[in-house]
Amino acid sequence: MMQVLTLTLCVLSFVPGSTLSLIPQELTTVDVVKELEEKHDAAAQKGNRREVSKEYLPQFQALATKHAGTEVGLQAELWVLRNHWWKRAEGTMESTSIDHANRLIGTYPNSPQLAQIAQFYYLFGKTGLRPMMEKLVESSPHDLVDAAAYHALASSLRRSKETDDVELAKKYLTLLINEYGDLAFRDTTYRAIATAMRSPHSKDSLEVGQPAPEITGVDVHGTAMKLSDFRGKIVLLDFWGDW
Amino acid sequence: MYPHERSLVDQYSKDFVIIGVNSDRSRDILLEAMAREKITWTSFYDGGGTGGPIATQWGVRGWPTTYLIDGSGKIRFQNVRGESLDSALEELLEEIGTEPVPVDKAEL
Repeated sequence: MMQVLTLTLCVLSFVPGSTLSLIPQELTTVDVVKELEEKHDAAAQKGNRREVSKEYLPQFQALATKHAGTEVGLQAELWVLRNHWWKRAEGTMESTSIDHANRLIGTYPNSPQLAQIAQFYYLFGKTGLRPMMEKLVESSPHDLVDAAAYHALASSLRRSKETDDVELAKKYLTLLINEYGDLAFRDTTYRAIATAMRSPHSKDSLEVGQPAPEITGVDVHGTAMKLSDFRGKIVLLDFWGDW
Repeated sequence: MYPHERSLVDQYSKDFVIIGVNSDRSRDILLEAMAREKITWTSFYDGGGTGGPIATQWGVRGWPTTYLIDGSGKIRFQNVRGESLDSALEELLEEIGTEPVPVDKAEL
């Protein structure tokens, strides 16, 4: 009896025709997605990024389907979401992203990582963005996801030529400051970023001959510093990054 | 750009400072860059990305973006680098009576 059972299990485990099926489910961790992502990134550095992403897409989609509802599935789905950008050239980026994000929200409504849907807001286009962000706010129990959605809306609308859009952006920024101000946005807060977005320096105030606007912030160690601390010296103010 | 800036800071440390506004994705990346490029001057850490509060408020859309500010806090030049930075700096140094020292190009 034991022998028959063992034999049956072996046969069953070969049926799906994939080597992955031999690995017990609980051993499949997000490392699988991370490894595939690293492989993809290495290949993308050498070749055409769009072509490489296209080539890897089915592998991520297979992981997402096979592990639907688990952390592995979620990570694979989020990779797929982040890699819809190259469909812009084919004119299908917006529709693909909207369908995909809807599916993600339906499958993983409670994940705080759905904030990524908001972070990649450009994927949904001008008309798709608002309904998508509203749905995200409505479905997610997480303040961080809501804050990311309002931030995405404000980022998109504040550059609009329509005054209604700009007013709406201001409303979202006020909401971010009042309701979500203490929440982290990267290494700063939504209060800090929303305040900056609500009151950008005018182009005129940054012209040669104008007094440089004050900057208050922190250095890399978190020590407070101000631009005016250096008054009396000639200052080269250098906006830079190591990329 | 870094070696040139470094030599200017060394040369005119009494009257001139560089203040960065850094938009790297993490403090670790910034610290690593400072060590690798021997950057001695300080930077505001702008919250871990290009959408940080300072760059946002200043409307910075391209990096690097620079402003040369005089001792009274007035913006005097924008986006000067290389030789145009040298001559802009010389102009501001002369205003405050500091004799600019010709930078030895061979050292750069």
